[in-house]
Amino acid sequence: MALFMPLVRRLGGLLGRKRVEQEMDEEMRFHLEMQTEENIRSGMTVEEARRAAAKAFGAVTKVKEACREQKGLPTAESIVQDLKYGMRKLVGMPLFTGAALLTLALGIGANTAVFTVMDAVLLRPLPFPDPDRLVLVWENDVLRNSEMETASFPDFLDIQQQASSFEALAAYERNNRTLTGRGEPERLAAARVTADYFRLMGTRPILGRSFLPQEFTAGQQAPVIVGYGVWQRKFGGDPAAIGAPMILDGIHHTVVGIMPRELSEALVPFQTEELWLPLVPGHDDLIRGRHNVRLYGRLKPGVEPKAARTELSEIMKRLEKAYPDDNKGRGAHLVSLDDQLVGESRHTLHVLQAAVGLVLLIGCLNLANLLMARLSARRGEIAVRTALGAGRFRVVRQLLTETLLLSVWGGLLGLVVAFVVVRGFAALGPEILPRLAGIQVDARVVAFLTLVLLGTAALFGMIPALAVSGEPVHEAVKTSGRNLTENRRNRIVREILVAGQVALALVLLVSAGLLLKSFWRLTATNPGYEPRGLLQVTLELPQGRYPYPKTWPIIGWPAVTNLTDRVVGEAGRLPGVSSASISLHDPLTGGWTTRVTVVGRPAPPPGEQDEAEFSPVDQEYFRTLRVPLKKGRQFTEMDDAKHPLVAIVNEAFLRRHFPDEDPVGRSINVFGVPRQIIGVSGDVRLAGFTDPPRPVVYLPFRQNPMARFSVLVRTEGDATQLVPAVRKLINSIDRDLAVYNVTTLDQGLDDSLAARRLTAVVVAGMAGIALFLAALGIYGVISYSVSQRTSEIGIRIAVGARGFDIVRREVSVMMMRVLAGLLLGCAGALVSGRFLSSLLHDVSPTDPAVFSLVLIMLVLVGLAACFLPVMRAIRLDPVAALRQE
Amino acid sequence: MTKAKTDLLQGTLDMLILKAVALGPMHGYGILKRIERVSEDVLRVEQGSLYPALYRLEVQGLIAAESGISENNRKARYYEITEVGKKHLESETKRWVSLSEAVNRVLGATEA
Repeated sequence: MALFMPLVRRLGGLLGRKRVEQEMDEEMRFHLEMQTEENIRSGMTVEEARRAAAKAFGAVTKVKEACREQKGLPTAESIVQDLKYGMRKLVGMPLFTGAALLTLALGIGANTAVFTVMDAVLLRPLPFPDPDRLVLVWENDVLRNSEMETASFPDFLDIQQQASSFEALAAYERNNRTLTGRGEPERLAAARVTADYFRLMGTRPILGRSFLPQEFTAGQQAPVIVGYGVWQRKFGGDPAAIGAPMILDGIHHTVVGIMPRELSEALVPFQTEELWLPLVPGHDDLIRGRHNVRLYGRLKPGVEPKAARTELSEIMKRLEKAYPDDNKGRGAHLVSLDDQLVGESRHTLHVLQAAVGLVLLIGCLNLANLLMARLSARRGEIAVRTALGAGRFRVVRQLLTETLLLSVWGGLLGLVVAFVVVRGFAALGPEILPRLAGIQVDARVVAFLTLVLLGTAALFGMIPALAVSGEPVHEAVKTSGRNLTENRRNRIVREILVAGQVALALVLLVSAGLLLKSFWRLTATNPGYEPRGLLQVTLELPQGRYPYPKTWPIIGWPAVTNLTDRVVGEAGRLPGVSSASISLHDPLTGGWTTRVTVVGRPAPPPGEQDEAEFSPVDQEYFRTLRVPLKKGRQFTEMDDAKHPLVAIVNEAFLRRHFPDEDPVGRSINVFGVPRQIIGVSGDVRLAGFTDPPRPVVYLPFRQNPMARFSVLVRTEGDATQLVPAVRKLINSIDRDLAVYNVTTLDQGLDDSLAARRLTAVVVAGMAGIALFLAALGIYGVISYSVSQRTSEIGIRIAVGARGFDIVRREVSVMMMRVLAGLLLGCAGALVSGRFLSSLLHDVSPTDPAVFSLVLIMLVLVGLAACFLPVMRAIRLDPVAALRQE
Repeated sequence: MTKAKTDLLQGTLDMLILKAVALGPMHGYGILKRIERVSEDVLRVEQGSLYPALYRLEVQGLIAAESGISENNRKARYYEITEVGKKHLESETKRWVSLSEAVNRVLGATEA
């Protein structure tokens, strides 16, 4: 307490300033009067007495100032003074102030925006109770080197029974449904879930109930739980939705519960389902080789994920032994739900943050540099203030006040920038960055901004302030009058700052170069077909009206082929359409795989069979997509259920199974039946382009019809224009078919690269700013140093120095610093390259082309920034130059 | 070097003022006169340093100020020693006495 009292009194002094001033006046007047009276008593005249008293007391103002200092008054007063003075100074230099504010606003704004995004995506916990205990269990396949596969339902039952690490475990099968009878038919993302799913997530229905235990056994009830979005869209948020009927795939269901908004929204894009049905195990579900369920788990409190992982792999080993046919090479592992959701965007965000952080750092160095230049110019002023009695601390404080003023204004502008940038991020959509739905600039973000702001001010303010304050006063006074040479020390500090800027700019430029090159490589990838002018929509036929044939594999299914014939036929006749086709998968995402063996070769050991993607397509497929046929013939209308079974394979399949043989005429087993290979097609790359082409077996759609397929429509014009016509057409053929997944293929390919584009563009933008700032830094130092030495250069030209020599001298000195910066930057870029490597595709982090291009660019920019001011100086008339002083 | 000297002088002035105030509440002018009178005019307090010293002691909480009426019926600020001030004066006095005794011993020493 005793420690604080003086402080409290000091603060009290600040508040009652007027009163204290008045008291002080009175006290001193009283003193003088008393003294005067005594002087009179001792025999002086009134006039003499007054003069003597005043003389003994000394200068009243000085005493008062000393008193104020003791009272704590000067600090407050002088802070206001500093602020006023600082404002005046800043307003007096609009160019400097403008440049500084712009740098700070962009730097602080960009950092705040990226922090806001990081905060929303990475730092905030999921809106479920104890979200850190929520995990996903994925199977993996050692033999096919494949991670993150869905599990089989029998495996789930075994794990659920044997594992002790989990409080609960649930199976989740994505299984979409078409809703009819409530406005336009709509394809809804739906899932079949086991009993524990909702309890495990910790969500309760906001209306109605969860599934009852008896609803998980085969029976007649068909309950459905709907998500908040569907409830709002399809039932207008009416509580009467509970108990209402819902026709899904032509089957009558009853709504029993409504789930809160978080359950649907928090996990986008990993989980988009808004409709849940009880998973009643059917015949298909009990096949151990069919991997169709995602496993959600909630760990018991205190159970480490590592322990759970160990337990899982032991269970999987036992299953492998018990079921070698289906489970050979299959293991399981655990991913926290949070990691699953955030995935790659964590790394992307860290890269973005590093980029904006570096730019802010360069901005700080630049400002420090500008301030140094200004301080050099203000050394006279500072020297005068020092001579008039301002303490060194006071001078430094004045300078820091100015930088703080700049930072605060810069920070406020930065907040505006952050708002705008965050808006931009929020518009990106969950495929690029998840969890941005409710993003906003809030108190945490403002706290971060304040921290950045203070750090920035300290960084760019302290360097020059310390550099100047250490300088002896007489030195400053001496040189301030005659600006013959810039203070050596300042110049060295400024050169170090420039080298640092160059180094950081190089790191950013190399990173941007690598990311751009990688992105360019990806966009230049030949997808294997012509995506322009191609529209795709997906249809799924409701089971209620298109029941599966009883035979397996399904060879003929007239109900479906009649429909597809009509769709393709009518779509092909739409104006502007050159052809239309049916395919199981769309070429963007590919699809299911199955075991394929070559007839006449020894069967591979169990569990080591080769898989290939199988894709039923119609006879127009290769022509519509413009996938080249390399060998053999295309499918025709004749390749139907009544004719021999055939297949076309792609080149990846050829490389794998027939490296030096002609496959045409050979046979392969698909779904247990032999098919003759009639042709070889070119490879099609899946969207994203990062995976190598997979082996694919194309089957004639008529010989392998499916209830879900994509319709692909080729036009010479703009494919998006076709959307309404295609929708109308399908509606006219069967008004209960939902049309979904509508996209043009070039748009789809574009979207698949969006995250990479974002990273590359942002980092490139930051690198551009960095380059500009570094150039500005070099230019600033050189042009200041030259302008300070105009007369010296004038003299040298007058006594016969050639302009060339002067230029060479000035430029070479500066370029040495730039080169030092480049060396330092190369070292930094090697480190940052390793950090980036997982985001690079087909580009080495030490790509020599990128490094040399960046080096050449920086040297050229450095030279240009050096030459301009120097050239201006030597073109001056020597006489004029000399007179300038 | 200069700094140490100032500290000593300042410390001594503070001690003298504290002692003068300890004798009874008094205004600035009175404190000045009191020190001069008691020291029989040997110690002359610089008037310019008296008031800063008073303000300093007040901020430190060693003395307290309140307004009162002077002997010639005028409003004046009266200073009064606080409890903290008394303790401070006591310890300062001890320190001073032991210091001056030590100095005296040195100065009065004869060669043994």
